[in-house]
Amino acid sequence: MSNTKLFFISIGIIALLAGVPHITANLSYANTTEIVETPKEKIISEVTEAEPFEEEETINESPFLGKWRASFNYDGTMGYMIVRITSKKGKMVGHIIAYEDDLGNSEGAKDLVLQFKKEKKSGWSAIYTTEYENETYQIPCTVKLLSPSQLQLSYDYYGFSDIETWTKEK
Amino acid sequence: MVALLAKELEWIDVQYWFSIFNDWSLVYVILPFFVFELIRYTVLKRMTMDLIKDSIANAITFVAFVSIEYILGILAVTKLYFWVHEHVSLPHLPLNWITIICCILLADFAYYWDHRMMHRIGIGWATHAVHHSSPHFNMSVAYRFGPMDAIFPILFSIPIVMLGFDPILVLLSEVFVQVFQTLLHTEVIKKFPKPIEYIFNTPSHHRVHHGSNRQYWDKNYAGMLIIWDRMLGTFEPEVEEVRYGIDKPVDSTNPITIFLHGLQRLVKQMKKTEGIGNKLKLLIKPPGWEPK
Repeated sequence: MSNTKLFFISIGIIALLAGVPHITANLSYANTTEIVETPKEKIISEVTEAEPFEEEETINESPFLGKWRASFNYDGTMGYMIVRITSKKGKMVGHIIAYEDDLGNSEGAKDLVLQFKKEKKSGWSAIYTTEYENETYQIPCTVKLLSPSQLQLSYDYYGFSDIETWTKEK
Repeated sequence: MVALLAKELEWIDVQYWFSIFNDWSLVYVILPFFVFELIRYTVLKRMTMDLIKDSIANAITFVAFVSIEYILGILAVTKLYFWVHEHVSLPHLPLNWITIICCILLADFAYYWDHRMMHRIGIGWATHAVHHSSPHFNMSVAYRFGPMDAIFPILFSIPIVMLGFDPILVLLSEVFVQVFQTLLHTEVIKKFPKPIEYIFNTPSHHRVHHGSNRQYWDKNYAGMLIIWDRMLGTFEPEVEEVRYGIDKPVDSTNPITIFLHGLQRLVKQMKKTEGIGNKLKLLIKPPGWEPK
């Protein structure tokens, strides 16, 4: 078989296998309502905590529920994020409700950061949503309580591993 | 149906299903099957010390291969793949069944070309000859790798990342293809029904690939789908009984000798070839090439 023929057959196969998911992805987006992406500026301003969440159902008194403080380093900017863990329809989720700097300045937010999945012996398996170089990653992680006021979140994601300790806000 | 296939999936679920096949198949298929093959060898009175030593050598070459893969993995996966995905990629694809199926098929197609290249250029064959050098054919041979077997696939998986597929999904798909390939290394299964033999790569097709019979050289490069060979002119059915191994046998069960013999032979050939140009050509020309 000539090299030219091999080349064109291969290009055809690649175009088909790459084209199908791109076309279906575009069709899916077209069928959904318009999504307006909110730019996620990390510049710390003087805005206080974001508007409160709607009242959400609390099914039990899990020690995870409540407000937690975690440090972050985004492009060299050190700061804190305040995460509120709530329970809705039996599932616990964590949203960042504010970013803060060392001086106490804060900016409101309402970003999903943690989804609890399943309770295990070693803690809870969860999905930690984080950003790296403008790309959002959903990282499987383990969340466990070290004490009533300390929570440990750990992950090992293809070479990226970290252990974060969050402290409970009063 | 399309809506179902296009429905967004969660990473944790996708990784779970991949782990069932990619990671756990060693426990529930590959090892039990290898034990069955050993019993079969014993019953057929084909169990020899050479076979045992050969299987142990295969396992040791695998450890060496994985070590190289692990070192490369840190570099390639976390840095290069993500950089390519971030900077030179088509729009990123959502995680759904269509994306996963197409990614596995692309990984399989990339495997075909990677494999074909390893057979058709000198430096590729210097490392891949290790895999073909066993005179036996069983599950352990699937783990017999050469020192650079981890490098060449990177050249073929990066374009998949450039097409918008998530680097982690590409890696999981590559392992999926590799595990499927592992299951083909057996003499126990003769032939499947014709439709399966027509579409999929099977033990029969892969025995041909490992054959040192002249008509079986450079045939059946496929990973999962034999249709790539049929489409690209490299298919050969199993007719004559297969003689396993390479035309110049290693005649050793020493894992170090086995692991490095391809490179040693290439270096030796380069030393006796005159001219820098010709020496370099040995790296990219087909195995056996000699300057006129």
